[in-house]
Amino acid sequence: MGSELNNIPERANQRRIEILGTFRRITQICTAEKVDLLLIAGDLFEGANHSRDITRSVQESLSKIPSRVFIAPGNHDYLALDSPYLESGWPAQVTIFKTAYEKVELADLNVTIHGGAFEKTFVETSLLKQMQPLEKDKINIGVFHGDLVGANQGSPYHPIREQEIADSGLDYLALGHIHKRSPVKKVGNTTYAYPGSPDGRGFDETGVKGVYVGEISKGRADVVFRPTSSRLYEIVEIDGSTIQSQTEAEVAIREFLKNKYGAGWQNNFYRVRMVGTVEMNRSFLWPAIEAKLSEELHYIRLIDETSLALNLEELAKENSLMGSFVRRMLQRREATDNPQELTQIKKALEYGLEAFRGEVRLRDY
Amino acid sequence: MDHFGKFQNYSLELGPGFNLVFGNNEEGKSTIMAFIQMMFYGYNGRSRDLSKHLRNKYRPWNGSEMKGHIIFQANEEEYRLERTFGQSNSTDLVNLWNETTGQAIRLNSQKDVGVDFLGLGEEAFARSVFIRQGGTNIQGSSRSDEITNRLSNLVTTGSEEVSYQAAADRLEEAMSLLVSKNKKKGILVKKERELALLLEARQQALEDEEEKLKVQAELESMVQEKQERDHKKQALLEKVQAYEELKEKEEIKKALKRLDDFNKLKQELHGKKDRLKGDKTLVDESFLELAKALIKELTSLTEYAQELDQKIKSLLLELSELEEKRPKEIQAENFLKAREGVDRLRRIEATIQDQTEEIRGLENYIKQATETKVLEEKFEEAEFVQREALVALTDLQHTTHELEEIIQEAQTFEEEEKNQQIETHIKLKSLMAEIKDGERRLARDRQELEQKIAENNQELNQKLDKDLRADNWGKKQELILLIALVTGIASLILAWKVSSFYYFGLLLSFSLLYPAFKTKDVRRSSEDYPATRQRRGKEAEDFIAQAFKAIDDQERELKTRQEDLQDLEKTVFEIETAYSRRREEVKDLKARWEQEQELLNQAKIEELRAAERCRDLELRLKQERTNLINNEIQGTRLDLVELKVALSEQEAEADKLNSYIESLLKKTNSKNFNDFTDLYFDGVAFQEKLEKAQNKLAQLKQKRQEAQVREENQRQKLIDHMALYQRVSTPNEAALMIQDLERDLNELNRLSIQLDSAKAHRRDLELDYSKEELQVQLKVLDERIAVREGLSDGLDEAALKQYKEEALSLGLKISELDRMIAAKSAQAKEKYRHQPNVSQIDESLEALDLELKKSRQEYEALKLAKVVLTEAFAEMQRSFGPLVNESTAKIFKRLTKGKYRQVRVNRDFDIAVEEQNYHSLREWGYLSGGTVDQAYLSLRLAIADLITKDQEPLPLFLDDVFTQYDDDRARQGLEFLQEYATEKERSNQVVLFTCHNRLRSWMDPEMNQQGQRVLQI
Repeated sequence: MGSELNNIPERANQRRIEILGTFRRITQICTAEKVDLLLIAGDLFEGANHSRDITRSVQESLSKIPSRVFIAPGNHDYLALDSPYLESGWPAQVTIFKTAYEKVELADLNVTIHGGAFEKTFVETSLLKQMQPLEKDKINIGVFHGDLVGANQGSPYHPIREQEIADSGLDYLALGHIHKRSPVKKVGNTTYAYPGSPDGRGFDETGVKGVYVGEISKGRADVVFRPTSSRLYEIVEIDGSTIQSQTEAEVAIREFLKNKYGAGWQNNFYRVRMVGTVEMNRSFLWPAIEAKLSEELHYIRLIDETSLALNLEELAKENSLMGSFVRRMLQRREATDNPQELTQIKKALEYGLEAFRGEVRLRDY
Repeated sequence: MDHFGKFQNYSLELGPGFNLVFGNNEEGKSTIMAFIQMMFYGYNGRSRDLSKHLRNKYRPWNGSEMKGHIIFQANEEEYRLERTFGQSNSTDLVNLWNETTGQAIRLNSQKDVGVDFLGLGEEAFARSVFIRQGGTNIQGSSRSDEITNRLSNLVTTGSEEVSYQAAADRLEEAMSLLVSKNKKKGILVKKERELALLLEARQQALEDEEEKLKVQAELESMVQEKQERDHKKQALLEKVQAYEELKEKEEIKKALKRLDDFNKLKQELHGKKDRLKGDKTLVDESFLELAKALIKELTSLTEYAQELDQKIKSLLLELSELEEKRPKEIQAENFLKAREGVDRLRRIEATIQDQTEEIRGLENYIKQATETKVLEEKFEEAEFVQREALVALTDLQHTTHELEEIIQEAQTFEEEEKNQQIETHIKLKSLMAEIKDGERRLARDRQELEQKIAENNQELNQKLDKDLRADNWGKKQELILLIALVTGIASLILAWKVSSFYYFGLLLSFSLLYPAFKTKDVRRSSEDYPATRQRRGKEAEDFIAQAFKAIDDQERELKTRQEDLQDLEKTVFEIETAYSRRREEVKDLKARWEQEQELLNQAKIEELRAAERCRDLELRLKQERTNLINNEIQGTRLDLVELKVALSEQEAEADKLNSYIESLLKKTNSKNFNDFTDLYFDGVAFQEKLEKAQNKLAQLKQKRQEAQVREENQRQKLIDHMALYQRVSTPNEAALMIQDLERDLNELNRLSIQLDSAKAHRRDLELDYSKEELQVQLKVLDERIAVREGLSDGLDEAALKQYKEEALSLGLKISELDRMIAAKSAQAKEKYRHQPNVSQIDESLEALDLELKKSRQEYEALKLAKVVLTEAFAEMQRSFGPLVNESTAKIFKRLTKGKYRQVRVNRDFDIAVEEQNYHSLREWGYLSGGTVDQAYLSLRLAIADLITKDQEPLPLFLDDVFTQYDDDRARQGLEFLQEYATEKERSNQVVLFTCHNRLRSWMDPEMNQQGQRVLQI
């Protein structure tokens, strides 16, 4: 929360409100399902520079739930003096870890919660290793923000290796940092998972987003994914080779999205990449189609990535400027197998042909 | 053409090869060409110029519907195109039929018929295969025209549709969107800039984070310090608390004791109150006060009665003493008579004294009046003397004044005479000097005159001799004139400068002028010498005589002056005589005036003395008179006698009275009347005293009786009052009871005050809590004290105060630390409040990095496309350009029958040609108009060929293109077109419209059979 969301400025305000709504929905799940513990493994806030209204909204939502809440600040919301976590108004049932390692005994549940906070952006050593020997008869749950890395890899964002998880002795490890959801995994006796962000914030966070909800017992954790995202960010690819007119293009895109996303398909953010080939003498006014579709969709952006339907080999034989251009491009293509160069040559060829046709379209992304 | 322009139901059938359509001017060649173009393309022009607005220009003159059709062949099928012209292309009715199949063809656009079948737009059609009169010259056409672009594209890229420049520009434009030419704008530049800013922000964020950690550490150390101080403060407060609890316990104990005392007092008070309760009343202050007042009044009444008894007793004693001292009695009648006699005697004695005084005064007055009269006489006399002196003085003053006036007059005369004398002396001196000068000048003039006369005579003689010899007298006359002028001027100057006397010189000058003018006559008669000589001699004599006369005049004048001088001298003498006489006279007068003055002074002194005396006498007289008037006693001598008689009568009466008084005194043994008077008044006083004592005794007795009654009443009142509490029989008994009651009441009051004081001194503890509650508190405190036992050992108030102060000071320090912590924390928070942190920036950086990478790839791809395009263009320039040139040259060569072998067209469509016999190119500017037209026709035909190279050949329409050609060239052109239309490998339909008979005449009559036809409109 507190992201600027400037990737789609015209929708940013609304989106920020929706994301707050998503958090409220999560707390509502807690209430409805009488959840004992709500574990938030960091980066709840984008930074410390957001409006304090957001903090208050979060506090208010948390104050209404019966669950005990544990928050382990991450690299985005690390615990410094300007942290929202040091603001007043946090409800009594909320525990915010304020040092690298802390544990909280919950006698009534026979549970010990282990957690730690990022006290600065970069934490390059393992916080898990600081854990004291666990009481084995208790259910031990860990809440940490960190980057799951390979055995020999490092990370400036609290590197966590599978072996460390296996050695921790925890029954469940709630992880945060990666925005994309990971599957629920188990190493040794420890089950762990990244739920990812509970709602998308841009086209780099596509797909259905949500939280993990479940039951943890000694040596076992049955958790399932629960979608919470208010809208989806989706990047789709549509082949426009057979499309003959503007109207046809409009219908084709609408049908495609409707079929793929079903009910509520209009509420998502779409980035549609138009691919395939089009005839040399045929062109589409993509912005017009986009405007038409925007009337019924929350957000759509069409990216024309079509290429001209040309027989390059035949074209190369022509005794004309275009023939000469294509011929030379093909010669260059044949002369290299460097993928980067090949991509560049492909693009250059397209741009050149577009220049002959009448318009050079810079690729949108 | 059903109806089109001038044509109605007109048809023209063109053959497949070369067609020459002949028609004179105005016969409709241009109309037919326009019809062909408008059938395929319609017309959408909006020109207001009728000649240019084809739709209006060719609207049938008879008002019929503009309409027609064309039958044409394409791809070996025959089509029929019908068009009914409306107001615009959109309202035209166009039908197309495939005549071969009989099917109607659906048209996308009514204008597209030409595009669909001919493969050319309207503009391209009009400029390539539709060559109007003069239309071979394309050089002047606008570059923006479609055809120009197409030709340009064709020449440079081999394709009409593709323009190198446009393509290059588009790539360039796309590149500039990423990076502008000056490298300051563009998406990529912007992103690079954003990247730099983000990196900078990241660095800042890292530094901020470091700083935050530092501040945090500082804050933590401050918090720790605060906690330590807090602990210390708590420990101190514990001790203070322990001590204060002990104190509180003591307080509670004291409060409990106060409560007990208070209750005890209350009981005592109630006991006392019971005792003071009587049969009918409760004894209080007022009851006792009243009782005491009654007793006091009774006592005072008793005392009063005793006092009265005492007084009566002493008065009786006093009376008896008085009787013993009774004096000798004088009857009041006798006393009054004696007093009257004494009074009368005193009055008579006073009268005698007054009369004696009056007599003495009257005598004085008479004496004073006599003296005043003598003084009045003296004063009158003195007044007379003064008046006389004043008259004498006035006379003298008058005389003196007259004398002063005379002296004044004489002095004025003397002054005038003196002035006259001085004036006359000056005149005399001046006259004498003038006379002296005149005499001197006269002597000199006389001398000069004599000399001149002598010279004159001599000159006269000489002149006469000369005149005689030369008969020339003219010069003489001039000389005289000269002399006369010199003399005149000299006289004027001298008279002006020296003396008026020299005016006499003018006379001489005038006298000389005369003879000077006179000579004329002489000269006139100069022939007569003897007469002349005689005349001249006479003239000279006249001159001399006149000169002497002038001198005589001078002498006369001098003489007159001398006589004047003598008169003047006489006058001077007279004046001087009169003057000395006058001086004498003045001197006498002054001496007389001085005498008079002396007399006057004496008279003045005398007058002053007389006046003074007069004043003195007047003053004395005035005083005397005043005295006389002031004198009270006025009277005459008669009055004086009367007064003396009255005096002797009074004296007799006085003697009589004296003897009567003496007898009375004797009777009472009194020495004098005063003793007699004292004796009388002693008797009177004794009587009064006696009466007074007797009265007083009676009064006292009365009072004693009254006092007894009041005493009895008072006693009864007291007994009644006491009966309200308890019955008593005597005042003494009552007094004893009152004493007891008073004691009891005092006791009650004391108790009451004590109770009030105890009440007032009750503290919050006993006020707020009951005894039981206090006892509970005490118990609780005891328990707490037991816990903190020992903490307050050795503590006293001073130590407690010190502890409290220390705790307070620690509290202040803690507050200060709190404030500092809050301020520092708030300051830091505020500082970073709006700053993104490293992770946020890293996220943005990641996204930007991705975008940048893509943008850079785009830019590189565009750059590559541009490079390759430029390479391709260079290749085209090398290969395709020659193709156009080659084709044009081929046609040109044929058109000129081999006169020119080479033609070159550059990118600007400028043409250069190479003649057969020369091996250098010549620019078009050096060529004839006809040759240029030929060259362009060649280019257009070549381009038309190239355009339609891969498709079915298009018909070529030409409107009198050879108009500028000479016959040879026109013939060559015609032959070329004939050949061009009938080429075996690629035959074109060619339609040439002309109004020139020469072309028709050159056509072979048999040509219809050879695919050529001549048509007449």
